[in-house]
Amino acid sequence: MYRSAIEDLWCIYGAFGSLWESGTGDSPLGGMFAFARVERRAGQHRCSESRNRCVGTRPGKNTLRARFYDNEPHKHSTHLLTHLTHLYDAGYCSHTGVCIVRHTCTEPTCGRDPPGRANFTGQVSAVQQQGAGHNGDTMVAMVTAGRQISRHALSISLKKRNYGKLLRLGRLHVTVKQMTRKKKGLNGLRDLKSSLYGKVHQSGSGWSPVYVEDNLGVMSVGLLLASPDDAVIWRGPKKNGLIKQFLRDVDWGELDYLVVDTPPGTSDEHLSIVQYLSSAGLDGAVLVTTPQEVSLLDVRKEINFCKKVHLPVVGVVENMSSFICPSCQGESQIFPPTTGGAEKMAADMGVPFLGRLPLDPRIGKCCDEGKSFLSVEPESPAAKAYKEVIQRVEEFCSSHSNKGNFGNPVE
Amino acid sequence: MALSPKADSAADNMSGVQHVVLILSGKGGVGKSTVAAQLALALRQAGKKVGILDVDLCGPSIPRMFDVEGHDVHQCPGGWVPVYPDQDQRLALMSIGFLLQARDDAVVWRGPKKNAMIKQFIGDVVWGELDYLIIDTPPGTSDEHISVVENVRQYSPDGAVLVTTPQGVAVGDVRRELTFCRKTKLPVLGVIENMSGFVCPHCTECTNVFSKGGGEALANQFNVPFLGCVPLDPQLTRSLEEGQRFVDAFPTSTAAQAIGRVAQTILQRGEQQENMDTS
Repeated sequence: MYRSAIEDLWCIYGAFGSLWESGTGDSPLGGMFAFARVERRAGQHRCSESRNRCVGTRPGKNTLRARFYDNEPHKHSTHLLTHLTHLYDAGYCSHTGVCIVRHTCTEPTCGRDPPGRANFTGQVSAVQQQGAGHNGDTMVAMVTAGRQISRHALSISLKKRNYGKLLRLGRLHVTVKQMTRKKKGLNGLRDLKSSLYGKVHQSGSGWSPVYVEDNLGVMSVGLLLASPDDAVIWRGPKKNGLIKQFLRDVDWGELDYLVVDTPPGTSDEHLSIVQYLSSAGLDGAVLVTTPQEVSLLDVRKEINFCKKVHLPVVGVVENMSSFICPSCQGESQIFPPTTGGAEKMAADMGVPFLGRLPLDPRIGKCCDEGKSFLSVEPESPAAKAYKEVIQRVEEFCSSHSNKGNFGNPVE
Repeated sequence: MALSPKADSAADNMSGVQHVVLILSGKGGVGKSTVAAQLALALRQAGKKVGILDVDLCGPSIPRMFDVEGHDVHQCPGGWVPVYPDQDQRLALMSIGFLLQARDDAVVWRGPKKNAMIKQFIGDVVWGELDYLIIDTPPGTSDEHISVVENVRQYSPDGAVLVTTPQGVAVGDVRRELTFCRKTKLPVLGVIENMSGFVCPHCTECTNVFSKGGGEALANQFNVPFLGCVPLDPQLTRSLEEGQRFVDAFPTSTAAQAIGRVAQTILQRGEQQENMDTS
């Protein structure tokens, strides 16, 4: 078929682009050529959004598939960060070879993009130790635990919250080892977050995480949303795409610890994060639970999930163990451990028990205000308990440096 | 276009269900399953036939809460038979917990498989004649929620009850759930503030463990009804652990009364709906 000179020019640019392009936007030129490729294929609107909504392409007549790019992932890198709905690297289904924008493969291990995995190793090797926590049961305090501990560089709860707000994709708490012992409660804080909405910047080296302190950076889908009321109502493939972008495109820099916060359950997000980080090496998972049996039931499933994917379990933390009344100092158990609590469950399942965290109203308050509970109330029993847990996790991370590959979950 | 036999049977199985209520929450661990279970019991106490559908595929809690963990799901010509924890069959349960080989088996599925399972739960379970079907969902706005809403949309659900704790973190997530309801045109029956205050048994002083007032403020801000506060009650958590019926065993406790008020609101709303349909 006849091709115009302009089309040829695009192809040439595209060819050069493919030489430069080693990742996503590693070089300004790569970004430009990615733009060119998107423009080149403007006629083939593969984005799951309708043409009218998509800001990254424009109607075009060309519908030829460019010859230079046989199987590269198409990516709408020109899209604004706020236009989240198709901010992901589409990739190809490893089972059917079909673009996963419109195809949902029912294979449990699908969604991976083998050519892209190498990039994770490159990007993520700068992070010296990584951990991911798992939490079978979702409790409000789980994220709190993650936040409080994250400052001290620990792997926390791979408990992604997949709520309307892309919490589902979870927060990647990034902590850099520092000498100080301050801890910061991140997010959720309405006040802090409201000022952070839409503040993620894109540079030549990728997305910049939001630094709440010099040595603590955060990346979360919540930071990419325009308003606190925006809901992110995505199915699995889109979420996987954004997780991949978080891991590949965020310029973490030099990190000692990367803490990954996940929603409850054992679903797309958990599978994806384990698969994507397997080559870079995950130190392990921290599971958080309450003493109730209904929580322990879910955490047992989570432990089995970790075993299936060969993810080491750093240990189990029992949160909301007991409540000390601030007026009479009497101890009550709001969530009674009718079946022995987390310690017994950990012993039965053969995983370490990291400690108990009591229920303290001030923790929730600090989280809401964006303060670090450990710096506001360093002498409280809850703060001491947190420090003990953190210490144990640090010991685990330093003694086990696991950079091996994890297997695929077999169903 | 002729309907496939499968679609016909789906319509048949759900045709006996009068009202469908979803229990949603943006945040995890706020007590959705607890509220769903107690609400179902309160509605049953009010004389209705109630079913509970647990679509939390990764963490099913409903079987444990009714002490029917090891029960099997039987098949009949119309589909799956729900599990009845009581003799008079006024409470029907369906959860993936009944379908697992071992209780500790993890359900590690991606979205498409979960969607298929939810479709089966809604279409292939022989609910029979039910006044209320309560659907307990996992936290968030993900595959499960999208599938549930898509599949029950044709049965005109009464609406969704949102559960939150008073803490800002939880409220922040539940706002997004409200956005989800608005986008999917699901009516919101109201917001329940769970874990709202704890009365110390030693000194009867009430402490706001997870702050206070967040749920009510959220309801006012978004102009949705506020259904009430349910306090933290160790007796409630203990009953759930042991599979006891809390609203039956402790009807005078604050938590039970709060749940009772929520159930009354749902009943009134249901009657209004029926009146509107018949008039």
